[in-house]
Amino acid sequence: MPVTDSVRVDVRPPQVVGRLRAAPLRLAASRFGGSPLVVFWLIIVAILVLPIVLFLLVAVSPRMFAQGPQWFTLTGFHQALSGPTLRGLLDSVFVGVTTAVAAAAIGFAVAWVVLRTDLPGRRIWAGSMFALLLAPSYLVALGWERLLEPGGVLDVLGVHPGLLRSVFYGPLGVIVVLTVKGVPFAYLAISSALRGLGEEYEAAVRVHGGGRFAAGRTIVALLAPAIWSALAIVFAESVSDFGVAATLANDAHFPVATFTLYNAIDNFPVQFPVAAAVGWCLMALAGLALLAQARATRGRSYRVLGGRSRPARRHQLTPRARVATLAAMLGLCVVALGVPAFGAVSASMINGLGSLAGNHAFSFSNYQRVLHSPALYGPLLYSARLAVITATATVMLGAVTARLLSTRGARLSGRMLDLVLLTAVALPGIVFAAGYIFTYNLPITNRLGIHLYETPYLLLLGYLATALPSTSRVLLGSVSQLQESMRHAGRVHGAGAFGSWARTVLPLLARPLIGAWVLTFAATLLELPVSELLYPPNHPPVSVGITKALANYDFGGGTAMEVIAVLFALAVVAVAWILFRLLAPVGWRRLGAAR
Amino acid sequence: MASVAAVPLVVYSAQGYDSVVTKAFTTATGIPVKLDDDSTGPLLTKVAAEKNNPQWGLLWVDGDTAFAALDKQGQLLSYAPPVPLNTVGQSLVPADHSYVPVSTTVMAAVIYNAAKAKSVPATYQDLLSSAYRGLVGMNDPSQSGPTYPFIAGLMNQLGGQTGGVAAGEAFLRQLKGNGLHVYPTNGDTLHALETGQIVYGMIQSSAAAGEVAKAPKSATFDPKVVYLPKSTLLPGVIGIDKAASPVVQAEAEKFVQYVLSPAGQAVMQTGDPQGDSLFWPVVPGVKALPALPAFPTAYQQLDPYFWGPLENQVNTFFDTSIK
Amino acid sequence: MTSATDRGLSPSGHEVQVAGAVKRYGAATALAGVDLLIAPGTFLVLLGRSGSGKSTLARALAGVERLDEGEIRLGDALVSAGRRHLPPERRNLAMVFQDYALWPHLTALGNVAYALRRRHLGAVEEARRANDALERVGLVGLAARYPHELSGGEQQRVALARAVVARPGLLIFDEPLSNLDADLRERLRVEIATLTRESGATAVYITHDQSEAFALADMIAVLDRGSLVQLGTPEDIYHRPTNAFVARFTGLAGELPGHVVSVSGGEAIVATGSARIRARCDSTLQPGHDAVVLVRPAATTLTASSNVRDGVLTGTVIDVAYRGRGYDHVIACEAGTLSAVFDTGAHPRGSTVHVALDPERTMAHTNGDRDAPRAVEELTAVTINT
Repeated sequence: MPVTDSVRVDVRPPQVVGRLRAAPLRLAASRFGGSPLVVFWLIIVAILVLPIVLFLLVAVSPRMFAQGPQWFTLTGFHQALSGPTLRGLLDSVFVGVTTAVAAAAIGFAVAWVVLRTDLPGRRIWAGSMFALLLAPSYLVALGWERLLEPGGVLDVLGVHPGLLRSVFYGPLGVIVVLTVKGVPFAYLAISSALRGLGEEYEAAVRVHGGGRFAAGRTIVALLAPAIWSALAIVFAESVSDFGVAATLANDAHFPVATFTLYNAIDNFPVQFPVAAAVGWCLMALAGLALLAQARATRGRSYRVLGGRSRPARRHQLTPRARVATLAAMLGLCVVALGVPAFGAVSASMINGLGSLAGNHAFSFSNYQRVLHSPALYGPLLYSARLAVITATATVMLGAVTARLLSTRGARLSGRMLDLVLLTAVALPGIVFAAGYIFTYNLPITNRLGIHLYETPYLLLLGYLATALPSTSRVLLGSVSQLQESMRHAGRVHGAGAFGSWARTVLPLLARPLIGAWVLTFAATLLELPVSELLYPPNHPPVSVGITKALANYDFGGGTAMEVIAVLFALAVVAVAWILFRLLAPVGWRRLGAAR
Repeated sequence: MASVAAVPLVVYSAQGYDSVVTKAFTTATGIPVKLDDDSTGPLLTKVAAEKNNPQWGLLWVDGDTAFAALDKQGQLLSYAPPVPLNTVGQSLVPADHSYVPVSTTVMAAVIYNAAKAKSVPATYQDLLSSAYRGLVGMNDPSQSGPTYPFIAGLMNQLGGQTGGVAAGEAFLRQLKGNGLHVYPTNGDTLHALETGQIVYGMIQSSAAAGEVAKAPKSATFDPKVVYLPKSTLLPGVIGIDKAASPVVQAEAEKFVQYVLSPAGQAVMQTGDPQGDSLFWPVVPGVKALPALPAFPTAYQQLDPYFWGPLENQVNTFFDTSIK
Repeated sequence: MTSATDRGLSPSGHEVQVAGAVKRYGAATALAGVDLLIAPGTFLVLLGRSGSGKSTLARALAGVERLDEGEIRLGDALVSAGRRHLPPERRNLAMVFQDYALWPHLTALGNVAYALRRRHLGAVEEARRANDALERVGLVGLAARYPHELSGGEQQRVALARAVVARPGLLIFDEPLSNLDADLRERLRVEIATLTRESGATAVYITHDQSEAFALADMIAVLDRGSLVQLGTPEDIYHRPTNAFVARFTGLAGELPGHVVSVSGGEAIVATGSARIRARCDSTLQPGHDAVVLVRPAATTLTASSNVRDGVLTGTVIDVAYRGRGYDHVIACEAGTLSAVFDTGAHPRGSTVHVALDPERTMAHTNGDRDAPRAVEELTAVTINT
């Protein structure tokens, strides 16, 4: 063989010696789960596991927290599982399932209209979903009341809503209001996933003989993780509700499980063991929801988002379809947003208590009064600062959580994390916050040098824990679509762990992350139960001031403050999106944009 | 004027004028105050959850049943302030001085729309007659804190501690049979009154007086208030944490003295002039705000140690049978 | 749903007729008037660079894209003309995608069986045929696996099975082999060729790889910037490219610029540097024109003799690459560089060699469209964002 004088290149890099030394340490850490993950789990334990576990523990061991004489007892359960509570559990399940399905269906429809059709005004519909997020359920229920009550708007307009009234002040009304509250979560989760779905799967259905309907069903099947995410979170939120059910189903004899819990807490001395026993039941319901989800998505992979995805084109609606869809979206916005807006207007801009009979002059006097009130300005800024920090931390933790939850092969740790998150949602906020007091006010905790109770740090942790479940579920849809290869491609080309993530995964997730940030900001700004129980003295968040005003029957002032807070949140949301459009690289925004 | 590096006094309060009062107290005495200003419910939940390690120095809410319960659990410091109280005030002081009444309102004030009311009731029994059919409204005790004392007061009046709840339950059933409307809170009942859904509402005296003071009157709406015998006292109460350090307890005692002083009472009356400030003073020499009528002559004081523990049972009865 | 035959779409191969197809994306034109007639059962390959319009044309045939102008007929049925557009599910066709497009929520069997739904066979028959199809592509043991549990080659074979199982009249392949590694590519190419011919369907296959195109096609259509440049059998395209672009695209050893000295009887003599080369040409070439000599790899032979005559170039070896059966050399000549010059023995780098050019496999063309700017990279990925 003739000799060729090709050059031999030594492929081993000269730095290999140094690397080998570092490797054993990293290997050891990775055996422990990887060092950044350890920090993550520590945080989860501190903010979620401990408060929930300790609260639930009160049900069986009241003496541990000075809530009763026994070290071990089941009387809490005996009292909780009496007749009314069992019925309440069934009612809660009924409301929860119906609300979840309705919210997911509506959320899917809106996501479809916004992302896959050419209906005019898409930005308005998408924006209205965010506005919906900010509509407090108090205003929603209030708006409906003002519409339907005797002497209310419909009456004054000559429409006698007798039948509607009797139907609405009951389970149906509760479901409507809770569905309205749940639609934005469903929309966010599903639209993120829908964005990432390239069109080849639909095209594949069409070219193999499936019609439009079959293609639609395939899309629903491919979005299963996002849809189930939405279902589970809306179910858990509905099950934990008390306020709406108390207002609307007040005299409809429609008890929900949380009634017993609230009665137990409302009386003094507080019966934490009974409340905790109900909490166990709620956790069981959350577990059932997760079981259903696991069965439905088992075995499959939904990783469809990668560089190869061709952006989907928009369907062109026929004129008739266009009119019908437009009417439906308008109807949805009017019902979902118009009613609470109306409630807000009637309560805050009509003098007195908003009665329309007699003279009803619109005035801004409530707003003027409130803008100068010390209960608004300072607390609003304070809450805004806390909300920004919470949103940022939650989005980061939420992305990691979503990653863990979307790992195939149902690892036990992922399952437990899911259960903990959903339980946090299913438990009403006030008992969740009580769990924080149990955990961080323990004498042992103080002796360990952890003095977090009644400081802003604990409030932040509480906010973080309250926001994490929804945020991670909203992100779950997109994160579960990411193809592994995206990140590996980055690693192979020299970037470190975080660098590869930042350069390859972050752009794909940028839009869902911003959405999650905004969602968390809005929810935290107006969050109530954790704020009430955990705020550091002398620094009340704005929601506490609002509630006090309302409790002192200053409807006008309280509602005005609430409206101002909502408008403030909307402004921040708008600024965040504008900044995203201005500052994010084009490629980030382009992802998932339909043609 | 006092020291610089004082330990702050932690105050849990649900009163509408609390932030004004605490600031004035700090200005007057130099003692820093950390105020947790919430509604009564969350405050009491906090106090209960903190039981094994209380963080509060002083608790100030409406209603003495909570304090009776705290006293039974041995959490309150006995303190008799060196300020004499008037007759009403003295009737509210417990035997062991575990808590201090500092103001009072009554339940219930019957607020009615004079433009539509054809008659004015003189007793609670009057409300059972056909003239008031479907025109009367009250609050829901499971959502409105001041309402349980009202119901307990009815029971006390009709059955006493010996007869218990039975007579009161019967009365409520009859009211329900006469078309009683139930609304979640004071504000909702007032709204129902304004919109003509009811003509007579039974609410807290401060809410009623506030409505009369600020609601615009018209041909169709002219709110007036009448007090039926007997009106149940609903005091604003301060209790001091027994487990607090002596320094904090001393500060708390000073706070109580300040609140009971003419200066303190005056600040209380300016803090929430259309709400909680509409109270009747228990300190002699202090006059109630002009918006308040004369103190009702037929009043009763409930024994919180007896009626407090019955709250759960009564609320459940109301939930299932009356609402 | 009426059957395919009712609509005039033949049960085995459609005849495919495209007339004046035009498609624009905003300012860019993807198809600039394409006419094609494909006889039933023909295996047609659309060959071209990215942005040449081949993908757009295939997707228009599939019904996934709508043409702006022009008509498409499949068999006797007019499926696309102006406003009229028959949706894909009614055209009795099937498509294999570049990235497989297997539905991740269905097993391999589920994916294949899905394509049979339109035949309304009933579950048992469906399952039987689907299993048969999987067996035919060699995946019988993997029917219950989900796509993510299969390798790239296995996934593409499932996609292939899915495409042929319902025996459609038209099979469209959108660069199905470009994501696979080399040895897999060849094996799967054979599968595609055999399965398609067995089924009797007409096939439209898109690729940018000329060797793949030559191996598979009955007919090749070369597209450049939305226009059809040449349509013919692989031999036609190879031996008689209509212009320099087609020649370049179908495999050259090198290009040597020069100018024409004389032309006679379909052969030209072109002076390149100090050498004179004889090459075939068409009638448009005249003496005195600037021309470029396009040299096929098969035209080059290394000779040792130093008697320089017409058709022999002298050059220096720059690179030698061992190919197993011999060595490919890259030779820098005065006129230009020639690559893929084969010899069974290796000539060392830097040595001087002589290359003889076979006039039969050398073409002279006028120098056209060499540096035309690439106006559109990948048209079908452009997003029209407001």
